Amino acid sequence: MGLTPAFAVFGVFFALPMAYLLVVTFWRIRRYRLTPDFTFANYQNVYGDYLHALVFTIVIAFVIACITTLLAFAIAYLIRFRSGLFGQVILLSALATLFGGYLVKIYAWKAMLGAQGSVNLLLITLGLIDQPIEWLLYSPTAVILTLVHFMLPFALLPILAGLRGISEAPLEAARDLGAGPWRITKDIVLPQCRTSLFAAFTLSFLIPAGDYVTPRLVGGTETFMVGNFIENLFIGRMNAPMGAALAFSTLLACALVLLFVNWLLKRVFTPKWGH
Amino acid sequence: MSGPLLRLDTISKTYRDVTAVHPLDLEVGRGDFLALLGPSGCGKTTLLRMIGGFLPPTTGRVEIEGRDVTALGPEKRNTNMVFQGYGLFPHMTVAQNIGYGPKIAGRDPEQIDLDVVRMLNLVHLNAVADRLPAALSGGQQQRVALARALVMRPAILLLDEPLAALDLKLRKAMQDELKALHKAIGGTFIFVTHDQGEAIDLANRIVIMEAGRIVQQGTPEDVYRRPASRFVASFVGDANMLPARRVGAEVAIGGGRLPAPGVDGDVLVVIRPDDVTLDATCPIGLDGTLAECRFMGPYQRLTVTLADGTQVIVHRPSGADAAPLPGVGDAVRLGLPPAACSVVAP
Ligand SMILES: Nc1ncnc2c1ncn2[C@@H]1O[C@H](COP(=O)(O)OP(=O)(O)O)[C@@H](O)[C@H]1O
Ligand SMILES: [Mg+2]
Repeated sequence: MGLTPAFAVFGVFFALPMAYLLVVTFWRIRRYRLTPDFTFANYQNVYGDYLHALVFTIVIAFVIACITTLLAFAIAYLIRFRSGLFGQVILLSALATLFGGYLVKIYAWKAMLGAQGSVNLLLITLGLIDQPIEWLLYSPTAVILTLVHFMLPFALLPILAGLRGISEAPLEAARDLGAGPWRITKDIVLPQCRTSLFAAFTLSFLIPAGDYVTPRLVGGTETFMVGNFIENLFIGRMNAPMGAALAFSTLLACALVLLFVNWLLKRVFTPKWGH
Repeated sequence: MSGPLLRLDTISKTYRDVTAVHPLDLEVGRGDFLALLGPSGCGKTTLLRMIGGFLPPTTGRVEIEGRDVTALGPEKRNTNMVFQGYGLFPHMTVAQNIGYGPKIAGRDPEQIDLDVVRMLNLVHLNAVADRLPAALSGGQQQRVALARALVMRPAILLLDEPLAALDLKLRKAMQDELKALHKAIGGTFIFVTHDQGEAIDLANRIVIMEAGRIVQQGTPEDVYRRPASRFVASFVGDANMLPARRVGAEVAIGGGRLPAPGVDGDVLVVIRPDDVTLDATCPIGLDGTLAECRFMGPYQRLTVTLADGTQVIVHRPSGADAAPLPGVGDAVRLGLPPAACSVVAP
């Protein structure tokens, strides 16, 4: 009963539009008009024309999510276990980047990664390279760097909450039984924050997978992610059925990846020995 | 090997500006079942954690089996701890919780299985070996924590308020079980408790702490019968405390004299309610009136008011052969057997 308003909002603003979009994927465009139909042609076309973009997007989002989750865990671990009061400073500085705004961050990375950017200048000043590295900007690397930086605070928060939920006594018990810091992290800490790791991974996978602004601004002429094509299908080519079919294919692929990651985490972090 | 199993040498702990444990010495022998007893906040946990290696002492040395282990962490000491909240690994089954230590120690898998089964038998948990801790009762969790520590065959098993979280009935049962365990494996146990009844029942030696210092140690009988201070007398069991004066190493009370070496001045004569008699032939006798008589089940609890207003509590067995009682308001003469009296500073 108490949840009825929530369900109503969810239904009107999420489920209904999604359902409409799903229906549209089976329609077609006839004489520039959206016409109800029941065809799989849109999915076939998507499979033929955009599979590479879809795979590329999933791979890039996967890489971003892995790096982000690992980094976020490392930072959260430092905050929770290693740095005492200093941890609050780390947390605040990580969260402060949230105020930067999305576009500001993208332009900041653009400025840093360019041929005259601060990263290249630093490397040259240090004498590590003679020529600026060209592929830093306008490349998949730039997209990954920018999105990892953008997603980091979002991944940090659930993991930190997960780590804060782990009580001290099991950690001390593990130490008492002879486990070193690495064993304790692997055997006791990680399994207990599995769901928050997964939450962090999910966020930092889904948002990059659907992003089409970052690749356009720092990805260069070669790096198109599936969001760019969806946008183009809807707006540039006015082909809503194909755009919707591509969007749903992406959704499905993302769901499969997340199911797999969840299964993998469960498998890795559920102790199986000793039966 | 000669010498004590555990030796604490002027060990102390200061947190910032709070001294939780003042410099103290303690020796624990092999096979001891030692209770660290004291009120909440007196530094028992702090002391236990220094023995286990979880807290570096501010001063002093910890020696186990003749070896200085002061600088070693818990993972390098031959001690294991049963934590106050148990600290079970929530994502591991009972068997995995117990097998974790042996696995870390690199025992071979078949040996681990044997060890785990042996411990499961010892603490009667075979039926729940594959359950997660959340699916266990408090008493079962407690036994997992015990088994998980004991499987490591520690030279010293440390227990922090092991029974505090259990309800009364379960606590009594676990008390018996702990005692049986100690007997069965013949180890050395040190446990922390604020419950004097538990300490008296379980331990063969009690160390009483007050505000970070050891104030008395000895057998349960010693500390109960011969309290060294007013604090011990009131903390361990019920005690009557009668004001008196010491003159020339003697305390005169109720027509008798108690030998009591020490400087002249005010003292308290301590006697347990169950040691006070209604026997008029006793060399120390106090006159008073019976103010109240309550039936407590196994015993009767009499309250006697003395001439100076002091109240004395007397426990008498309520069995069938107990002598008939005077009525409330009647004059009674209390007998204080000199051997049962202790003299402490007020
Ligand atoms: N980490 C700590 N920081 C500061 N003071 C502490 C800390 N741990 C314990 N204390 C203080 O030390 C004293 C003894 O604590 P503790 O050993 O836990 O007592 P007990 O186990 O006898 O209840 C208490 O006054 C407590 O407030
Ligand atoms: Mg305590």
